[in-house]
Amino acid sequence: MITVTGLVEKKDIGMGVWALVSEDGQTYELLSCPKDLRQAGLKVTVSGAIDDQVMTAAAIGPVLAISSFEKLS
Amino acid sequence: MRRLLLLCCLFVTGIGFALYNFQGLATKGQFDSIAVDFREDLPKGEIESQLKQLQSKFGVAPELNSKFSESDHLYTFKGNKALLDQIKSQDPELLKDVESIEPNYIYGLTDPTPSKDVNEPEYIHTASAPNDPMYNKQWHLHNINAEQAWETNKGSGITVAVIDTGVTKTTDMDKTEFVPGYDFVNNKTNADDDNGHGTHVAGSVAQSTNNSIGVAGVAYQAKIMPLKVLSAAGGGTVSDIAESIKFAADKGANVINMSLGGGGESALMKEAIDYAHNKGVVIVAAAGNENQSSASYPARYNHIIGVAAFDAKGEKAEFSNFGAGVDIAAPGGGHGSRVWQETIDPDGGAPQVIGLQGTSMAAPHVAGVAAMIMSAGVKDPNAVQQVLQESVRKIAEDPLNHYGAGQLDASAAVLMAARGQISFNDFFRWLHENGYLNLRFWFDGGAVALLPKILMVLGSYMFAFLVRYLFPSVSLATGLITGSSGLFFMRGFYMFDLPQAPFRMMGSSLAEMGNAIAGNNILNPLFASALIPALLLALLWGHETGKRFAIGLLLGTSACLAVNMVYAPHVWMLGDGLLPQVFLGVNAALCFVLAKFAAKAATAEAQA
Repeated sequence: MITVTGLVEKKDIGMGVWALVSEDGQTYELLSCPKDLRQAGLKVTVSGAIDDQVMTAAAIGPVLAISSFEKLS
Repeated sequence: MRRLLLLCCLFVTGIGFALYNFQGLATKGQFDSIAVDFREDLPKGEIESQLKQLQSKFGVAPELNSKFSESDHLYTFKGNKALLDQIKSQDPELLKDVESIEPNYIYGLTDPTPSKDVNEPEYIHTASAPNDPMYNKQWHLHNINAEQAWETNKGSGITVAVIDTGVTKTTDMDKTEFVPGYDFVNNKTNADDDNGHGTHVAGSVAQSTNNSIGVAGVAYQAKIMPLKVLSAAGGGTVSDIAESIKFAADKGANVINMSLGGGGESALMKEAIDYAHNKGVVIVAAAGNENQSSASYPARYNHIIGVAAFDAKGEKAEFSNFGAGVDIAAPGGGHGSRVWQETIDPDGGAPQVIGLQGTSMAAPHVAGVAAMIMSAGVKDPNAVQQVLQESVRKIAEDPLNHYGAGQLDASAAVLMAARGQISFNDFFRWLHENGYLNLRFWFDGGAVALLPKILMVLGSYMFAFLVRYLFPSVSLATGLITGSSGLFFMRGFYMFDLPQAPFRMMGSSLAEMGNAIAGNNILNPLFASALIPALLLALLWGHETGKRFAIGLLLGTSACLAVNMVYAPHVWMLGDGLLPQVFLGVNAALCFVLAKFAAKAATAEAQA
């Protein structure tokens, strides 16, 4: 389980994908992003696990399977 | 006299036909406006009265070409060729006052779309372009020289499995053939798309082309096998993907495209990839979109061709992975440019042509060209990869491996694939490259013994094929023509007050030159033998091009003598019948053996 703080972004790759860009610059793919988080520029802290058994059409970085999140802005 | 007239007629018709079909530089340009450039010394009042006359007589509205062209007196107005011809023939006064009046050609690329960071060029529809109305937007197909590749190859007979979010048979897939696939996400046979990604990717591979709808695809006669492993959200499990790879290999897919990535190394995936590779399947995957050094899985596995993306300018896309695992680069958009294909709108499923970017979009271009290479007869996956990588446009400076072997070139790839393959297509390519595919050539051939010439050309091809196959580094074109048939249409070329013998000479093969001056059909044993080409070979051995010419000449002469042996064994002083036949046969064999050894020596020398 990891905790990541960063900004939510909509990445223009393929059909478009939600991502969390951490403060240290790592991009995580938010596959099945909760509706509440779908807001570009939103600052959040997300807890979850890296799912390395999943591949995606976007292939923008590790898939972060969210278990909980907190909006900071 | 009648024969002479007939020959002349045939020749003129041939030339006329060839010229009529010849698209010169001018006809390649399209124009919908006319530019008129008045003389610099013409007074303003004179120009104005001419402009008024143009307006009243021909109903056009001339305008200054730009604010800079006032001093140049350069005006343009809407009009086509008919109008231009009309003006030229009906307005002699105007012609006196102008420096030029001509089509205002639209050259090459139109203005870039201003709102984008990278120029995404829109192309003009040429006569040879497919009739898909939005083909002009597909810079990515122009970039890889798809049109030239389509002249010989469209990927027919090859099946490409698209492992993705599924593929929906949209409007612009009406002519694309599908083979049964599978939906591994929902475990059902119908593998329709509920995301839009997979249909777009499949469109790049084999969008129906020349169907007057939407856009074009790379290998549009290849079949699509839709395999859904990614959900509507765009993710899927390694186990489903591994399973789909095996499914594709078992169900006869020749190429697999995986526009997906992520996750860690997996023994399950590795095994599936090896399984498909051993079954002769070419596997292509996107390098990934993290802009990091090294491709993501699955592209980084052994036996997978990893594809990086470049934009409409040929620069690395800002998102594309690079470095280890990148084997080749293909158009994938970036810096504002997009790959244009038809797909479904995920909300409601309506078909739409949209521009997407990603290494996902680059991979199917490579998969399509791989299908073409296989369609040309190269079946081994390692050989297909070799052709893909050796036929690229190489990038001189690429220290970070942004492009792998280089940038995909469909046209060069199919040419390379056809080399070493004996096929109908290859024969025509050979005819074309050696100048035999020329209308005048065949047209006039009718009057000068077409059948033996055809046999000589065929014989030369067979010999050239053998030598090319055995000694690929030797090029022999000119010598082959001189040795086998000459520029034989020249024999029918007559001109008033000029002796015809020189034309007969040009129209003759070396073996026939001895009798060309005399103008009869009896072969001169001095010319119709291995003697001259052998002497030339000895003389020219030290000269690189000369040597190749001599080897070609030996082969061509061999073919010519062999055909004459069967078809017309008349040799001066030997009469006709068995004796000249033996003479010609022995010399033909001598020529061939000599050529074979010479080519072998030349190749060894070139490699040393």
